[in-house]
Amino acid sequence: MEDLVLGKPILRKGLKVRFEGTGAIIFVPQKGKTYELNSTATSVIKLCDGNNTFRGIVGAICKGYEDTEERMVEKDLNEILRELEQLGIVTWKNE
Amino acid sequence: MVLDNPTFVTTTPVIVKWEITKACNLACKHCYARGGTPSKDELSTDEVKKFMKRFADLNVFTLQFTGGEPFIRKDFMELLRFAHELNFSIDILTNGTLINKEVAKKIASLNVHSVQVSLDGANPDTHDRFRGIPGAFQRTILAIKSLVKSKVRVSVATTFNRTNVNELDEIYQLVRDLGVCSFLFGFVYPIGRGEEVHRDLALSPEEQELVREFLIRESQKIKQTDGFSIYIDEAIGKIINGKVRPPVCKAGRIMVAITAEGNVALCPMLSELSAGNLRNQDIQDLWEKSPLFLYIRNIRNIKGYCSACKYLDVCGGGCKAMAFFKTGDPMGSDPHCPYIFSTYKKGINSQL
Repeated sequence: MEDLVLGKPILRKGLKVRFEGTGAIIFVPQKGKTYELNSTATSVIKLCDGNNTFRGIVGAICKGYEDTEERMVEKDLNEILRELEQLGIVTWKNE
Repeated sequence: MVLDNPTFVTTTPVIVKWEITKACNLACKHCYARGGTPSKDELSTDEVKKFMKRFADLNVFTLQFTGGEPFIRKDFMELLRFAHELNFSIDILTNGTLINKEVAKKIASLNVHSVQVSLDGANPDTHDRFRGIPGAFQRTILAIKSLVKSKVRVSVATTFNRTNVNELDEIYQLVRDLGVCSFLFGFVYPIGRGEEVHRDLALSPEEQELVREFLIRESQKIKQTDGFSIYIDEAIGKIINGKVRPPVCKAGRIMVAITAEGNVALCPMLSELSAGNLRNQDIQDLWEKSPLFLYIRNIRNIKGYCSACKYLDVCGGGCKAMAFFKTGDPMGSDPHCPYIFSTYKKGINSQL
């Protein structure tokens, strides 16, 4: 978890991304697959710029929503990033 | 988290499935496109290029060329080159019989993302009988080997039916031995020529379930380092975080199909339902305003048992082509919904 908290997620190179309404559609060339992201995942990928740390993204999300428990955001973000990584959308800077 | 939401519609198409010709050198018994003789009015080289440019302007990601047999078109390599220059991700669906070492090298040089080759038997007898032409098996195998050698990503697609289901193990082993990247499978559907042979060749729901179970079992044995996968998304849904989500039809939401004559359809299997023709209407106008697209995007138009299903908001009613051929309405219930099988097993299929 320590690595994750300090890590800086970034979108993989070569992706084709289109933002559509509150969602996004992403083509991952390595897999040849197109994925549709919901608004939560889209908000997350917009913050995956290689500069924001996991902790920074948690902070940015909490700022946008009142009454959000930081611990819950951490848990959800962890899950979302793991899935985005598994799909070949997100990697970690310097990885 | 990954959306695949049936109400998610992109502002322009993202995936274009393009039946580039109706001409085919094989005579497959089940062909949904009724491939064989080219249409009289197929799009010319210049027309295809013009429409490709339009798709590039609209930020389409993927062009998937199908047929007929795409490689029958004398200008196909020129079209591939043009698509490559426009930076599309390119997929090709082919029977492989016109791909030799030289063609494979050219395909590799154009950075084609993947070539899907149909293989319907573990031996010449089974494959050639189903594909209608002697010698097809040998040429298809040669094509796969040439493509693999040229480092092209190859998928093998098998249509399981009464004539090859007993070779399931052998076909799968052959596919693994050929060193391809992925394996796709489907069944004989009552579409196109499939309508004529469906009664004799189609597997029963229980037999289809056995094929799925076998391939799911095999997919669980595959290691990440194998560089191989079994594409089971369309058949059973995506497995996300250990949970199965039903497949969501992309037709008319993010995907569009173009016929050899330039007709704009929901998907290649539904080419008889056309929204208009590229020769006289702009794709974007059709995408935004065509009554056909507007109709199928509204999941409240779904009819039959799918309209009452608890998964409707998740799956959007399944495959529009299957529904159309069963009920005459693309928004009818999908007769091949994977969830029907579990219901079927519970013995309440009479309600369906």
